[in-house]
Amino acid sequence: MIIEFGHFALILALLVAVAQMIVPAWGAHMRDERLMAFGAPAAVAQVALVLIAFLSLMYAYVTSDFSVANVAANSHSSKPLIYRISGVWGNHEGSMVLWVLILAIFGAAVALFGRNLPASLKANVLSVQSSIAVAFLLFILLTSNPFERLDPAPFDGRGLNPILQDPALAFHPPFLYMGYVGFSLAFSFAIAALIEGRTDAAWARWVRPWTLLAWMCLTIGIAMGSWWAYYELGWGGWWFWDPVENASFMPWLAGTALLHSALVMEKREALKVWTILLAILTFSLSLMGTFLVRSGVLSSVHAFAVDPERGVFVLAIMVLFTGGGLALFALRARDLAQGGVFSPISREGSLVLNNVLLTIACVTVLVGTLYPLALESLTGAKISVGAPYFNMTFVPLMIPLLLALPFGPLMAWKRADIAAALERLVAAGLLSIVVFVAAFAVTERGPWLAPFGFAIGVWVMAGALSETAFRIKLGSVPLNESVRRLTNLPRSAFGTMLAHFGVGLMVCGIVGTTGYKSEEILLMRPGETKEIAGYALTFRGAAPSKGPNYTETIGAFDVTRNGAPVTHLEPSKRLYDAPPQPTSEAGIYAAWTGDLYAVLGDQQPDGAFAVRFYFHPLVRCIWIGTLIMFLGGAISLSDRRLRVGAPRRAGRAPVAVPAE
Amino acid sequence: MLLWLCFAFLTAAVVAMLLRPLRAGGNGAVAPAEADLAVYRDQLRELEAERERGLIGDSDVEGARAEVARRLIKRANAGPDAGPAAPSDPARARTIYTAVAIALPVLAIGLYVFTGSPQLPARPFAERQSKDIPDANQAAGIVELIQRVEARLREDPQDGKGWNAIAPVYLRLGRFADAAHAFAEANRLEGETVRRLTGFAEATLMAENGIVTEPVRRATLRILELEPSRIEVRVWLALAKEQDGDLQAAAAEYRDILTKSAADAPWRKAVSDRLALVEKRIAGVPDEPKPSAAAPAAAAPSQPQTPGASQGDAPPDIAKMSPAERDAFIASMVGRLADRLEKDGKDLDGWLRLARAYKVLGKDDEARGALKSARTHFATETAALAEIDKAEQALSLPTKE
Repeated sequence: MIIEFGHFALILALLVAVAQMIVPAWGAHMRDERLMAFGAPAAVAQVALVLIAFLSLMYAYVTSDFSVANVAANSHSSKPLIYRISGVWGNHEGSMVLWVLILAIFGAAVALFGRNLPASLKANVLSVQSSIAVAFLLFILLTSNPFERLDPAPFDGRGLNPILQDPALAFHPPFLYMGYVGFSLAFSFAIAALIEGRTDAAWARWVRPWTLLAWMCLTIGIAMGSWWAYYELGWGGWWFWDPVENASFMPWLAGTALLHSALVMEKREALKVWTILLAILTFSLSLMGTFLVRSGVLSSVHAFAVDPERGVFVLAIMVLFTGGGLALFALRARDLAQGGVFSPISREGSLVLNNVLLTIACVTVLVGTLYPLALESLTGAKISVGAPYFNMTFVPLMIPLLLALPFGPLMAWKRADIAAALERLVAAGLLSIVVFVAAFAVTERGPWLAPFGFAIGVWVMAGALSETAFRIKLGSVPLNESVRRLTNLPRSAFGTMLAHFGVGLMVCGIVGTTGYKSEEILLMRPGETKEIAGYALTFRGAAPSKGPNYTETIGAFDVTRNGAPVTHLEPSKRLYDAPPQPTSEAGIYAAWTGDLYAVLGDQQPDGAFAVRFYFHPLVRCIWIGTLIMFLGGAISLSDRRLRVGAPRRAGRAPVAVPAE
Repeated sequence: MLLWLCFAFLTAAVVAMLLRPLRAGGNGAVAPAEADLAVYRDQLRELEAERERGLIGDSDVEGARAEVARRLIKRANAGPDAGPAAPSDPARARTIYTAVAIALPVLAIGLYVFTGSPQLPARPFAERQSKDIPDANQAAGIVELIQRVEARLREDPQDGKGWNAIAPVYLRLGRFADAAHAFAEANRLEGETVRRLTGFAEATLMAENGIVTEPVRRATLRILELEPSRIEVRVWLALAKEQDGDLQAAAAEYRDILTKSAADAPWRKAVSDRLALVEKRIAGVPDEPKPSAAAPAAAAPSQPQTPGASQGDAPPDIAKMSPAERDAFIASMVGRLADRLEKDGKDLDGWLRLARAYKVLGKDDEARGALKSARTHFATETAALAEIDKAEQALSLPTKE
């Protein structure tokens, strides 16, 4: 009964969404307050209904109700509870429900927390947001209904792809969706602004927290996906330039650009047209990501919904929203008045440079992702565009961006003094030169470019710290004055510093692991020892073991360094019961200098095991860096500035502007 | 009944929630001008702090202040114009809210009746074990038995008797991939018998959606070796020929089965139907009903695709083609791919697809060959070699050492 209740709730959610799409927008058009006010309770009702549907589906998974086709196809009675829960979104239908749930949550968040928004803007935003919900709810109910039933019910389910039976499934998709879907709000705000014909500094300030939230979630979601691939796929790669990864990376690049251009729009009312366009494009790229993954045009770990019919539906949604958004943009962009003027050397100018580089980078990734698909559909030739293409195009674009990055926060608005900024970065520059020389000296025969990479990473990190040091006048005023200034800094300043510092740390991690990783592939018999990167690994043997729904062979390795025991690694090879599919679980030892990574391969006829060892220097810096970026976003989000509200109209007289 | 009551309750709650603004009359909304003014006032306040931190030059602060002030004044002047209209027409609002309140339940019930299955009860796994099947004790017994045997087999996978016992149970429960695996293990450990070979062939056939793969063909030949009188299993050989596109040979095989079967053999009708179909196709008449799953020996209802490892990633639309189309499609695809890789071997995906295709076609040796060629082309790339290893395992094709 609970299943059918969930199904009904989902249908009701669709109808509420349709009403929410029409009534508030019409109200805003007619300037009818009562109709505009419909949006808020509708958004809350919508999220409640989708939540009911989602929980019903989860209930079916937890109780292993195989009369639900979706559960029968993707679950199994022997699966541990945690994977029965996270398995809800480990498949196409369930993940679409999660997608719509997050969409509705963002809509309801605007309804509840957007108290500082003017009524008509709020009504239009909720209407546009709901139109997205309508499209996806229709998609779910028409082509991928998770509540379809089987009668008679099969005795047991067909199991979840073993690669997905991992704790990371609980976090990676929800965060990624929060990122993707979060940008839907930027889109809704942009469309609402175009409908109202007003885009100004206030609009930019209202849209910024939502963009920031989406960007944070997308950052951490992508990082988690990368980490998951690193330890699960068995060879220690952390980024593959796989089309599905690119599909999430493109909205990230565009979203990062949007975050910065909205800043200019908020402060100076400049870059208005561009910001609106970016908001539309960022969400379009998110939709494209969904399309690429769901349509089956790509084959990858993520392609769990290979169904042309669904692909066409998502394509239609994407064309509708992108095309509609751009058409409205073309119609209205001319009316947008230009804002404040600024000189090329200024904060605004540096943010424009940031936007130009990020946008071009996004385009190169787009070309690299879509070109093979286009070529295949036109000529049938299958080519794969891999790391070499991106190393030749994307990386050179990132170098000027990273070199210029520390200058940005040091520039003043309107007009800046580049010589002064350079002066403030002298310490950072010297530090990065020292690191460069040191890296060269230590790794004299290493790759030639890696020391440059380290220098750039350190430059970015030290530059971020220098900026804060300059703001608090560290060294030039008494220490307690600096501390006072530090405590007075707005949280967004800390956010900026942390996010930029995280970028630098990530760059160091990428350079370290790409430039200096070492690997060994060999056959080992129990008792044999192999050295890699200063560690000696002794194979103690392999033994079978069994888990809740798999059997595995665990290899035992003793790790020593200069004779002293370090750790004990136990990589294993698993064979799952349902479906019978092998996976490898790497044994990883994380040290400050890098990760020791061991993979157990097949047993050879003569009893020896194929094993692979890797050493990934500094690889943790990549994810720690992204985590710091996430924290930077969170701190920035808590800034008072983003919560400035208008007094309630029913309330007191407007607050007077304090005399300054 | 309870279900419909719940629906009614949910709908009523939602409608009540949606109607709230009607009563509140839109109070508490923020006037557009007010919202903007709050932001601009805040920006004015911020400027001073920014100047102190050096975020804006001393000389530019005044300009920026003027800019914000201009926005503020512009917005304040636009106030009455951009503000909300005079209190709205309550009748119009009431009409629209009423329409929503009526349309919502009607449409929701209507859509649900079309798509839902209110008559189906939930079937949670734990509950089913006790009450699903009429004889509760027996059902519980079966489930418990299966779980016990499974547990034992996990402890000791070399227990041939256990595999032998559980295999037919799996087959009856529709767990075809499990059944095929269990029969294969039993055959390996306990020796091949006609019963087990037949079970294996049947289970594999079902798991593979009626495609006669090479293991099935080999099992069939072995059955005939052990017991030549079991002519009905030759249907699988005929089916294999049919799926290979060799319709003439398939028809001949069917005819031979019919002549050698007793007059009252239970499979006569199925075989002759099948023969008629094949003859029709030889004559060039396209056949509508998809025949492959209707294999005479496949008595159980056709099952959705089982994600067996050997299934490979054949494009899904193939499943909708008729066997002849499919065979032509696969053959041409595989041929083209093989030719291309011959010329340019630096396509790892290509090799893996080729191997998978051969495996699906039952050509294990060719599949092994493809993987071997891939290995030579990518001998220096560890990532690629790992991929090849993985593919090899997935296809259960250990390269012969």
